[in-house]
Parts: sequence; structure tokens; C-alpha cells
Amino acid sequence: MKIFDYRAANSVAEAIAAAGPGSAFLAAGTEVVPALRDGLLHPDRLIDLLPLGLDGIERRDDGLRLGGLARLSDIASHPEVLASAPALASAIEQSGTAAIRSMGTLAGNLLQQVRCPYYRGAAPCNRRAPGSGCSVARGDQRHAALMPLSFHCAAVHPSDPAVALASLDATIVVEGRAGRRTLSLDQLYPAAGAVLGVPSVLESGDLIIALDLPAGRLPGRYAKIRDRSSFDFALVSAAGGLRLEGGVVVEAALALGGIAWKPWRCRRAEAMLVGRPWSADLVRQAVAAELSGATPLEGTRFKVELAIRAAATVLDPGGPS
Amino acid sequence: MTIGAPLPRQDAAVKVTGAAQYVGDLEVPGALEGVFVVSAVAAGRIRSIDRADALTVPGVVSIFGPGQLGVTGPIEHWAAGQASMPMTDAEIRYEGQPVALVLATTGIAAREAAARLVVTIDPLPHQSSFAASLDLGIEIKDWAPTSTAVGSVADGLAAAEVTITARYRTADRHHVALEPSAVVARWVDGGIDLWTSTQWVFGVRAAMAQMFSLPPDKVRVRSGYVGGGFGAKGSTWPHEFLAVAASRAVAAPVRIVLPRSQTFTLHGYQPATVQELTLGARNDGTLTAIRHESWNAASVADDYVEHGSLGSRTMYACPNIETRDRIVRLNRPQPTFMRAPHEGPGMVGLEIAMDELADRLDMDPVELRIRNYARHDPTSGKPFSSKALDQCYRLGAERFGWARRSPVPAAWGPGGVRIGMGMASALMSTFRFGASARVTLERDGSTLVETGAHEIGTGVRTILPQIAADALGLPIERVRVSLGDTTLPEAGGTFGSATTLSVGSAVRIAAVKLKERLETLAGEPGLEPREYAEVLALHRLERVSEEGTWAPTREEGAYAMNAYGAVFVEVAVAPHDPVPRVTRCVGAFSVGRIINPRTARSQVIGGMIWGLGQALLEDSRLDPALGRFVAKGFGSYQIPVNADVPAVDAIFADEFDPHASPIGARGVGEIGTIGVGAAVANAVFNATGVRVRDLPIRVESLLQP
Ligand SMILES: Cc1cc2nc3c(=O)[nH]c(=O)nc-3n(C[C@H](O)[C@H](O)[C@H](O)COP(=O)(O)OP(=O)(O)OC[C@H]3O[C@@H](n4cnc5c(N)ncnc54)[C@H](O)[C@@H]3O)c2cc1C
Repeated sequence: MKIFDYRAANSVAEAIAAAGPGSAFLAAGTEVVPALRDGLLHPDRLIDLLPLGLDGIERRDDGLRLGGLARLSDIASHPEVLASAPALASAIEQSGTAAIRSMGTLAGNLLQQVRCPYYRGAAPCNRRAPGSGCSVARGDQRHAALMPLSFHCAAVHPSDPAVALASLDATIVVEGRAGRRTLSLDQLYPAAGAVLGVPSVLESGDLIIALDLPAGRLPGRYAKIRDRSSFDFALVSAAGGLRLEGGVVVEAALALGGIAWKPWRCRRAEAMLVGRPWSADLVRQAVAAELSGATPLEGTRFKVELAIRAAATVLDPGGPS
Repeated sequence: MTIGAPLPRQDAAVKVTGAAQYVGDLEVPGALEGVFVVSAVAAGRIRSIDRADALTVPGVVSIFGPGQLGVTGPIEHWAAGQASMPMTDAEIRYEGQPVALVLATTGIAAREAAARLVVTIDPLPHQSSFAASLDLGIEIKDWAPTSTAVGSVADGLAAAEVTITARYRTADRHHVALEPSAVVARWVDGGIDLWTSTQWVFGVRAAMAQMFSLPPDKVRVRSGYVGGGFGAKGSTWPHEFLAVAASRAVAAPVRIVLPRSQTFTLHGYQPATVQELTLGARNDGTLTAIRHESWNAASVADDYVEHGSLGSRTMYACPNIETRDRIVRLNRPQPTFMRAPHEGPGMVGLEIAMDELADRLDMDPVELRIRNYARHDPTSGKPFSSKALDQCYRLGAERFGWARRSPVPAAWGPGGVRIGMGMASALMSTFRFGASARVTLERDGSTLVETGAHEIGTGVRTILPQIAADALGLPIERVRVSLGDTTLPEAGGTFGSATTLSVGSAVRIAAVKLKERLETLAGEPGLEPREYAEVLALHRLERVSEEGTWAPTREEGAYAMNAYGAVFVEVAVAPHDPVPRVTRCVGAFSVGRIINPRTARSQVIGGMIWGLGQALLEDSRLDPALGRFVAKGFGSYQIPVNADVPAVDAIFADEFDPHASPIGARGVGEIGTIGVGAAVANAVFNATGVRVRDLPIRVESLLQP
């Protein structure tokens, strides 16, 4: 671990000003500290964001605003979140452990690096060592993507909350050197085909101030399929819900996790569902169509069926709401 | 009577409060911290090591490369984990092999310098895929025969009305003890003073004496508390030898605490097995033939046989049994014993095959096993020392509610969730070692038990005082215990589930001798414990001490000795989330006399949970292209968490084994892990109709629409 400089930021402006090449923001550090120790991060300077607060959860006219540094456990237990975005609360409750949820922040969760064992385990990996190759292609693929970012990287984004947020049309408020801007979740993560090993498109000095949950969205549910019953990342997960009128789907939202480098909002499946009478078969066909563009690696083929099952859980009008 | 009492763990408080000292905790003035740099490739030759950048790190003292530690390899010794000795030549035999050792005044400096060391290796082609190399399997000479035959399987199959043939697989699995292996080596006065987290101080002493050409009395080895071993700390491994060599080279104490990632390549793992089983039976279930062939992945660093077919030689009455165990030498780290070796993986094949047979015969799986109950060892012909497995089948089935099981797969499904029940037999050969112990009574009535055995979390610190307290008629609070030091009376390693029966017998002999000595001093038999102090005072003695030694006798070799069990498991498989979840688990065990029902229960339920890991999670996947284990930490190597562990219940048959040990006990430690894997697979079949023959059972196998 190399020697680095530590700065506590007293204002957003100060945090942004302190940032530069080789600096990294530090929130609760549940991701940053292990990464320092494992040699995955070599900052010259750590800028501590916790003094900024930015951890409130407030109701606004047009929805809910979650502070970028809000603790995961505070979000999951907040009455407004439980009422209008239970999918998010459930996704958080199924993330990590109680200790991690009590410390970890929302922004930190969205910006966590991939869990790919090659990346984490000092094996050849383009994300860690550009040009060293992606080991997944000839290696262990079980935890890899159905829809890889590019042939440079086949890892999946590990966040559960991000999947729920994608289904809820959340937007991200970012403050940076050029001022304030708003991104969709889809815009936060790199575009398909990218070769960079970065978890997001944010640049040095870009600070996530808040996340906005627009009002009037389907509250939704979250289903996570994992090997362990707890304390495990998803093999596949699904967030979303639907609204029926007279047995016909009039509104649907679906996002899948564990299948790509970003939460996968299923616009195509949603379009297939809306306007048709709900049936389990329709859900199956819609999700299958959504994933028909995938060219799975041999070891990830099973995720298609798994995704269909996870989606069926959240898109079951008879299921618990 | 203290024996048979459910006394709590005597070391519980120091462990949960953090007061217990492990090797990594020792304050060692002047110690240098060592960090290995390991090979990233599975085969090759070291071309060069560039130290320039690493040496600029403040605090770095020395950097050793191959051939610079003054040791030569290989080491051929029964207590060494592998013959091949890294850092004695430029050859890379497996991924993760140490290629350099950095010593620095702090661990941080050593790690930083290790990260900056530039080791250039010319890679060579390697063969590390086990699945692709079965045809390279060979039989070697080992401590147990690798092949056996009684009768003729061909004849047995000709007489069979039903036959089952299938292949079963178990995965590579790592021990992942919570305490990573740690060693503090001090070369002093031409001898060795060593602290190491080992399960066998005397084994380390013997191996060190040979390696460094010293008489054993110039080598002292201590272990302190050991934070789990499970077999990984049962042998002496290269990092221990190399720490000693480094201390000699720099004339300072050297501490090496392996980083978690290196515990995946430096002290063994349970190798993957492939097992081919053929069973022949008559329509009434009587077995006419058993053929069990097993292959395990092994290393070019040394040979290791996972005797996968061992249990099939003994388990069922059958006139025709043939078994064979082969190894496949590959460019992988050296495997070793892991909690419930041999039968642990091996019974997976046999017991799933028995379930398949029961299904084909339309017979209850327990009934099939009772039909073929062995009353003597079918391969050796020897009588069993004691065996209450029939009781286990009955007690376990009752406790579990086996009678409620539907024999038809997928028959029930409340709420769409499929519930299945499965069972399996368990068997593990009993290991017994010679052992000695000293029991000392002080004038103040306190008593000390001393023996070079080890506390690795199994309850030895409770059991041994309990046995002494029982013999002397004292409360256990009056008995202290001193373990894990080669200056104490010699005992075997704490593995093979042998410590209670072996060391416990030695403690009992010593304590009984002590009591007799006191009675002689008093001149009267039937001395009361409260009179001990008086006797000592009368003779102006501060203390009296006796040693006891116990060893298995030749006559007892006329018996076949095993621990047995019957495991019952219930699983639930939900349609939308078909990852199998175990909802109940009951084990009934025949292990001889129970010295302490609380610690015994704790051992077997811990074992059953360990078995759940084998059944559903533990899977060290080796990347055949890179020749390396993919997971090197708890983030990717998964073991069960609390939420995966259902109600686990254990019961013991009422038993006293007169031949296994004078205290009537056999081994308890490992039997609990055996059988669970097969029982879960059998329950999954009962729930879903899907026959899974590979462990761990993955959701992938249960995904057909
Ligand atoms: C053992 C373990 C298990 C886990 N399991 C799960 C799981 O099952 N599901 C799941 O979804 N997650 C899981 N996580 C991830 C966990 O939720 C995140 O580690 C946590 O939320 C990160 O928050 P933090 O405040 O600690 O971030 P930090 O570690 O402080 O930062 C993480 C990253 O975010 C950046 N960052 C932080 N705040 C901001 C900001 N406001 N603006 C810009 N950049 C910022 C940092 O620079 C850094 O790159 C797990 C983590 C661990 C360690």
C-alpha cells in the first residue's frame, strides 16, 4: 500500500477542488479500504466525504430525494421508501450484511467495482491491468455476464439497489467541475463496447449529491437468486412490477441484475407486456425476447432461465406486493 | 462421574473475549516480518528477480530468491506436507508457489516491497485440468492399499437382477481456517525455537530435525491456540521450513503470517474426485456386487491419495467388492487431508448410488441399507470392535420423521415449493495414535494435565481435564491443561478424530496411576479427594506427578474399527428460486462412549454444517487455462452462513467400544461431515426428480422448466 494524502472535505466545493488525477473519494470505505489493501486502488489522495452530510431522505413535490451519502440501512427502513419504493428497500435488505448496510452509502454502492474473482484475485484482467486479457473467456464463467460490456470485460455490476433504482426511473444528481447535471442510471454506467475498466462514467471531481425517485412509479418488488441464503451477490436478480386493468397489463417496469455491467432495464419486455392480458407465459416470452440479443458464454447460459424465473417473481400479480 | 457430563468449553471465555493468543499475536522483540512472493503461472522457470524497486521501501531488510536460503529440497519425511521445497531451485511446479521471501521490520513494508519485486518467469506448458486428464490416473503405494478385491464383481453382476452404474464428482475444497497459518521462527544456539499454528508439534519437530540435520532435542515447537486447522495444519509445510531457514540466514526471529490468498496454495486442500460406482443387487435388495473406482487430482509437488473407495470396502455386506483409487499428477498445489478425508468425498458416490438402487428397486432407502447391514468387515473379514449403526438408522429415522417421506419424487408441493427427504449412511475409519501425558497434583489441590496435543477448536482443553478430573474425583475447575509444546509428553497430531481416544486414554492412565500413588503414600485404598493435600503435606511433597502412555495393541488389530452414522436431510426447492435450501438435518452417530455430550454434539453438528458446505457451496474452481484456483478469499470461496444452516440435530447411540480405547471412545470429530453431501443430493432427487451426481449441487442442475 503506498503512502497517500488524506483530506476531509468540509464543503462540496472543497471536495471537488481537492480532486484531481490520482485522487479518490472516500465515503464509508467499505469498498475503498479493502481495495487499498488488495492493491486494486493506488490513490495519491483520499478525500473524505462523510463530513459533508448529504445523507438526508426527503419528500419533495415530484418524488423522494435520497442523499448520495445516505446509509443503505437508513434508506431501507425509511417509511417513505417503504411506502413508495419497496423494491429498493427489499434490494437493500438483501445486500451484504447488516454491518455493511449500516456503514455503506448509496453512492458508494452504485460505484462499487465488479466482484469478478479474476479482477479481485490478481489474475489477468483488463479492468485491473489493461491489456492483460479477460480471463473469463477461457475460464470460470459462472458469475460472468450474459451481456458483457465488450470482449474486454465480462463482469457484472454487483449492486442490488442499482437494479431497483433502474426499475424506478431514478436519476442521479452529480456536481462536478462544470456544475450540476442529472444522469439516468443508464447514463451513469459506460456504454456497451467500452474498453475502460471503470465502474462508471464519472470523472475525477464528480460527486454524487443525491438520487431522485420520481413520484408515481410502480412500487415494485425485488427478487434475488443467489447461492447462499444471505451475504451473497446475485447470480441473477429482478426488480419491477406491473399494474393490471381487467387482467390486461397497463403498466410494467422490469430491470435485471447479475446479467450485465449495469442494471439492465428491460424496455423491450415492458413493451411486450403492456396492452396484453397477463399470463405467466407472456412474462416468460417477454423476458426471453429481452434477452434474445445475448450471446451467452457457455458458463452463463443458465442465467437466461434464471432471469426468467426472477422476473416471473416480481411480475406475478398474485404474488406478495 | 465427570465423564459423560455436558461440561462447557473451558476455553470459551478466552476465545470469545479475544484473550486467547495465537501465533500472529505473539510479541516477539526484534522479529522481522516475512512475506512470500508467489508464482502467477503453473509451470515455468524463474529467469530473473529485480530487487531494485523493492529495496527502496523503507524497512526492508532482505530479499531472498531461489537457492539463497541455504536449504535444498526435496524433503522426504512423513510429517512434511509435500516433498517439493519451493525456493530451492528455479523451477515452477504450481501456481502460488513461493519464488521469493521479503523480510522487513514491519508487515506493511514487507507487503509493499513484495508487491514491487519484479520476478520474471518463463512459462512452460502445464497440465492442471483434472477433468481432462483422468486417463493419466495411476496407482501408487500409500499408507492404505489403493486397490482391494474380494470375490468377483463379474460373478456378482451376473447374479444381479438390477445394476446401477454412474459417475459421481466432488469438488476441490479448501480448509479456509479462520486463522491463516502463521509461524514465528527463531534460530538460537544452533537450534530452533518455533511457534507455529500447527495440529502436530511433534510432527513439525521431527521434520525440522531432518531438514536442518539437528537432533530433535535441539528443536522446540509450540502451537498455542490454533484457530482452526481441519487438516491444513496437520503436516509441516514449506512456509514453516523457509521461515526457519530465513531466521538462520538473518540471525533474527522471523514471523510469517500467510495472507488469505496464499492459504489457498501453500498448505493443501481436498482434491476433486471422480468416482465410478457399479452396484449389483437382487430384487429383494441384497447386494451382489460393489465396484468403486475413484480418481483424485494430485500434484507434481508430491503424491496424495484421496482414498475415495475406502468406505465401500467396509460399508455393506457383499460377497463381491472391488475398489481402486488412482491419482492424477498435475501442475497444481499439493492437496492434503481435509476434515473427513477419504470417506468424506468417497461416501458421496456410494451413498448416492445406494439411493439410485433403492429408487430402482422401489424400496425404502433405509430398508435397503438395513438389508445389507455388515456384521463384520466384508473385505478384511474382521469383526467390528463395536458398531451400533442399526440403532442410528432407527433413532435417526424416528427423530427425523422419515416415515412421512413420500417415495415418489416431487410428490408434495405446498405453495409450489417442493419438499424432499433424503438419507445416507456415514462411515469413517478410526485412527489411533500412541500418546503420553503427565498429570501433576499440587499441594493446594490444583491439578495440571500436560501433553503435546493441541486445541484446534475441537474441545481438547475441556475433554482432557474432564478425563483427569473423573479419574481423580476432582471438579474440573481444579484441573488445568498445558498443550502444544514439544517439551511436554509426546502425543500424536490432533487429526483423524483420534485425540480424545488416544490422548484421553493416556491422560486416564496417568491420572489413575497418580491416584494409586497417592493411595500408596497414604497407605490406604479408597482415598477421598479432600485428603490429597493432607497426604502431600504428610510426606512433605509439593506435588506428585505421573506419566501415562497409551498405544494401540496388536490384539486390537484383529478388529475393524470405524465411526458410523445415519444422516437425514430435508430440502426445499422453490419454483421461482430453485436454489436448494436445506430445511432440516438430523444425524445419528455410533462413535463409542461419549465423554462429553456437549462438546461431542458441537463437533458433529459443526461437521454436519461442514457437510452442507460440501453439498451446496464449497467449490474451489481451478481455471485450467491459467492453472490456478480462481477464488482466493472468502469473497469468492463460499462456505455456509448462518442463514444457510437450518435446525441441525444430532443424537448418539448408547455404546462403549471395549477395543478402540480404554475409555470406550472412538472418534467423534469428523464423522458428522460424512453422509451429508449424499443425503442432500438424495433429498433433492426426492423433491424434484432430478438426480444430481456432482457436488456441490448448483441451481443450474435444477433449471429444466
Ligand atoms: C463483503 C461485502 C458484501 C457486499 N454485498 C453486497 C450485496 O450483496 N449487494 C450490493 O448491492 N452491495 C454489496 N456490497 C457493496 C456495499 O453495498 C458497498 O461496499 C457500499 O455501499 C459502499 O459504500 P461506501 O460508503 O462504503 O463506499 P466507499 O467504499 O467509501 O466508496 C466506494 C466508491 O464510491 C466512490 N464514492 C463514494 N461516495 C461517492 C460520492 N458521493 N460521489 C462520487 N463517488 C463516491 C468512492 O470513490 C469509491 O470509488 C458489499 C460489500 C462488501 C464489502
